Amino acid sequence: MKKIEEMIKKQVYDLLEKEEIKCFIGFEKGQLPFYSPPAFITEAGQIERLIWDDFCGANLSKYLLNAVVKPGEKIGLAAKGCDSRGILRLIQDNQVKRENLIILGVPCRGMKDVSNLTVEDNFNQLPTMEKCLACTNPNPVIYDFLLDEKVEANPQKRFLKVEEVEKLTLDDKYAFWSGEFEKCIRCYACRNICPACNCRSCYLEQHRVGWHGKAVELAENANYILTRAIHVAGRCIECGECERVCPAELSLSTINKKIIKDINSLFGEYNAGVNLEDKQPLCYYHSDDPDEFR
Amino acid sequence: MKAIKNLLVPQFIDALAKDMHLLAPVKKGNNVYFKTWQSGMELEWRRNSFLPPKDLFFPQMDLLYKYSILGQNGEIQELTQSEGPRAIVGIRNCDLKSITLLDKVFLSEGFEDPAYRHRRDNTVLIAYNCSKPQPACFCTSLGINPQGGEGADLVLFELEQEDLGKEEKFSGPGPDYGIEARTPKGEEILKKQRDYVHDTHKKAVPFQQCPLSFGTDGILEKLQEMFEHSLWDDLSKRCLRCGICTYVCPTCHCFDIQGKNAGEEGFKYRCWDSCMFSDYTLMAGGHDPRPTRMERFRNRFLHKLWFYKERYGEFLCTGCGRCLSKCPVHLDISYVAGKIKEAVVDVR
Ligand code: SF4
Ligand code: SF4
Ligand code: SF4
Ligand code: SF4
Ligand code: SF4
Repeated sequence: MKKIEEMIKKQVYDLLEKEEIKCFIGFEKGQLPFYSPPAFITEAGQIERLIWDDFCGANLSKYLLNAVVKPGEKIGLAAKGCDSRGILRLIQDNQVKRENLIILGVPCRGMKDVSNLTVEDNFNQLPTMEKCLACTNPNPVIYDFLLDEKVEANPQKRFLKVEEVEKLTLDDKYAFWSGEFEKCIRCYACRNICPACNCRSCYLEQHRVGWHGKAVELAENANYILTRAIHVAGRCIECGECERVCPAELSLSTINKKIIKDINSLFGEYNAGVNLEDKQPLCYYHSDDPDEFR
Repeated sequence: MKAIKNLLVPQFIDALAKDMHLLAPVKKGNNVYFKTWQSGMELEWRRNSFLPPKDLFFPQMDLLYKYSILGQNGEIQELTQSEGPRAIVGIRNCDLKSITLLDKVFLSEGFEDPAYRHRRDNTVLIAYNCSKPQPACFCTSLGINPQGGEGADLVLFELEQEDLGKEEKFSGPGPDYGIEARTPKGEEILKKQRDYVHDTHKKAVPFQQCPLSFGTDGILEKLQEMFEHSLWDDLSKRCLRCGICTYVCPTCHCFDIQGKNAGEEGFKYRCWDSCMFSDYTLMAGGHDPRPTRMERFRNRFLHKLWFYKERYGEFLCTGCGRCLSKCPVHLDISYVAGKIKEAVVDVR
């Protein structure tokens, strides 16, 4: 980790010194030893702020959506597997251009979960984040420099929760999901962190049109969460960020992964945000696609 | 001093719950919520609640009235202010303070919010004094005594387990709790529940230091020179402009009033709103005085550390640390206050 940190610092120093990038998005130390929030570095003199440790779990790709670049300017960023898939998502959705990016790829061994610490916890022995235990692509799928050796994927938990819920009876499923939706406080953090939620103007904020009410109740909550799930269907890159940021601990990945599982079984294995050349299953039509309505 | 044996606490709460609607901190998943107490529930003291107690006085979703349209006429039915007496057990001192800060907003300066007033008058506050702060606490920076119990009717606090060996401390039932009445209402409850209470000479566990701190000296004066400052751009870049920090903050109190209509019927409600949202200051004609995340982010801190202080004489923050522990990118007020202190103000 320390070695990676040194390499990041050196690369970023060079890139900023030679004015090859305008800004670098990485991680820095936060208020507490186990917080490593995103950092924006714009001068070579600031590189000492950059770090790389077990707590760099956030996905940085979404920041690219609001990064202001003038023609010819580039942005650099550190990318674990999930960040890199987020970048691919944004490129594929025509939100950013590959040539405007310099990507420092970091193969990832999984990051630590700091979401529910109490004083009794020993922060040297924190559990690995759930999203990391389900990760199919810990190695960056797109990069300019690779800072470490590639690692083996071990997505042991990828569909575990989905399979659990699939086994429930219809009534129990309804009860489970109602319980989840009821917890939502409609903070929209799940939307705001999501690289697949990259519309410049969200339907949720168009109150005058009235697509969506502000009432915080089961029906409107479910409506929001399910609408978002359908909107990212086939485009969700499984970074698990929506679930990580959710303060109310909704099992959001279970919804996304259920959709992914269904897409895989209906249209063949497809991993979004892994390969720019792959055709997106929900974006084109095949004459032998399953059609239950026929 | 009076005390309750550790194992009697649930029964004590059961007894209180017979007389009124009782809310107590219980765990659901990893989050703690103030839930209606039912016998057999397990109390969670180790960390503060996810949603602050403001939700119990100024709920995220508060129905105001419902209506039905009958031809040319209509019928309206008021929906608020129907709750009976209640008690909240386990409020921390940071959150107690937040209630006095909200009181100023909802009950002073010439207007009293009737729903808030009703809930406030109807609620007994039973505080829980902290001895161990959580990793993100910094209440002492805001001048709060985490063992003060100010504003509570009754206070509970952990007692030293001096008569136990180390092993028994972990395997035993846990500490007894000291209990103290602070108001006549509190005395009355204590008298009624005297069967659960005994006299003790044990001492309260003293407070360990807060892990975080920030200096508030001169921050207001400095901010007044910093409306235009590059700091806001720099800091707000990290912000996701979600609603977490404002919703979990015990002192943030912005709301919206909206309606939901279905056919001939509908209802009006008041719900939390957040200055971090893009539609918050959007006006009917399309103008938005806070068009980007920079202005929205700045507003949150100016409100807490300048506007509120100017109007009511105190900062709108209690150091509860929720905006640090729940912010997905840990962009909290202690960090921002530190950056404000460091910032160089260009005096022309
Ligand atoms: S829906 Fe969730 S898991 Fe999927 S891309 Fe968005 S944030 Fe990541
Ligand atoms: S992050 Fe969680 S609480 Fe917030 S809107 Fe999304 S699902 Fe709801
Ligand atoms: S400061 Fe954190 S919690 Fe608040 S809006 Fe920004 S990202 Fe969300
Ligand atoms: S600003 Fe943060 S620390 Fe202060 S009261 Fe609000 S949530 Fe608590
Ligand atoms: S901020 Fe202070 S009063 Fe609040 S929970 Fe932490 S230590 Fe207790």
